[in-house]
Amino acid sequence: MTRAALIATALIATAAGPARAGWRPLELMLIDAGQGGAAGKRCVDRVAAYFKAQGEDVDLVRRDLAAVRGKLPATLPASVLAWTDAETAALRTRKGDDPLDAIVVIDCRPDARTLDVVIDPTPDGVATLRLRAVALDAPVLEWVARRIQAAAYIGFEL
Amino acid sequence: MRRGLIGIALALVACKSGGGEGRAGGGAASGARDAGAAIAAVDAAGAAGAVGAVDAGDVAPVTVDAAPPTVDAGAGRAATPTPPGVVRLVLVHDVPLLRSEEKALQRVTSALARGKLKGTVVDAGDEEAALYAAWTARLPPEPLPPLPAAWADAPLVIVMRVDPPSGVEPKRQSSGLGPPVVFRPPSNDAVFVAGGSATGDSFDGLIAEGGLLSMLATFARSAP
Repeated sequence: MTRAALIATALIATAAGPARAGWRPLELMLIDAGQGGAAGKRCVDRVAAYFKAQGEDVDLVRRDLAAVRGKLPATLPASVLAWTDAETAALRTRKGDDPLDAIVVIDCRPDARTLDVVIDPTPDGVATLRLRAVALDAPVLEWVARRIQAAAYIGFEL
Repeated sequence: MRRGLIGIALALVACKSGGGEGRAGGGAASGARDAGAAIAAVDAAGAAGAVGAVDAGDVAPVTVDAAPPTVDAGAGRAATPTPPGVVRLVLVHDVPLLRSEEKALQRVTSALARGKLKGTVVDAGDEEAALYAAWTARLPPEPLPPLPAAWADAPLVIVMRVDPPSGVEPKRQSSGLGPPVVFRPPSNDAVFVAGGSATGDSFDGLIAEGGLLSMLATFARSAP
């Protein structure tokens, strides 16, 4: 009877745990290109907040451009929209681990009402998002974040 | 008793495995690639000119490598006129829509008719198709091409490609839509562009919560 109780307890404990078979989080690195000053940082913060709100579905690593500059080519295109996999490939790889699913670089300038995003999900090509003359408020940035997430899932494999 | 417990254990393990599978793929854009209504192919004359190229205000154009400075309007299909003040949803496609796409487009058309900002769906003229191609290249065009004259009175213009269906008759399937480009005339600088390998929506994705059409009022509003 004691054995039966132990097994039952073990079963309840395992059943209560989260189901993870066939699942893993989307692993993203989000980089602030840092061209938008304090308002630009707040803008990127809002996008990051959306990903954090996805809970265990998104594993977010946040970096400033300065922090990863050493891994990037010496000369970078003036606009992040012109970045290709050649710029971000080195950031995707991880020592002793699978590559990140996507690198996302954001150049947000709320004062100028411009937002440029490059999403590099695979070596096959990057996706870009470009907004002009739109107030970059919370609903707009959440909408942009959804599109970033959709683009980041290209090539996603379990 | 022991057999019974083992049976329960196996059942629980099976349930757990099955429950996890549903999460695979997470938030990838999905949904029925199921689409919409017959587009009234109105043969309209004119519309060969261009809205005066308005500069982009305080928007700094992206410096890019050589892109065509102008868009070849061609001499084929003219742009379909739309009533003033009505949002124009322009579809670029070379092959007829599937029945499922026509049905889904009907839902989009209905949503546009119901919205605060009224909209209508039209087939792209040659000039519109060329403008879409220019904007969805790897980088934005430089200099920015002028807008078609037919757009002059539209508060907002959304251009999208309907991707050719996959498969062969009788089992062809919709491939959904290409990435969108949104303009707010008279500015010839796009308000929103998804480029590169960015994917588009399904027709139903356009009208879903958080879909592109949910942003119409925001995009149509001039930023302060």
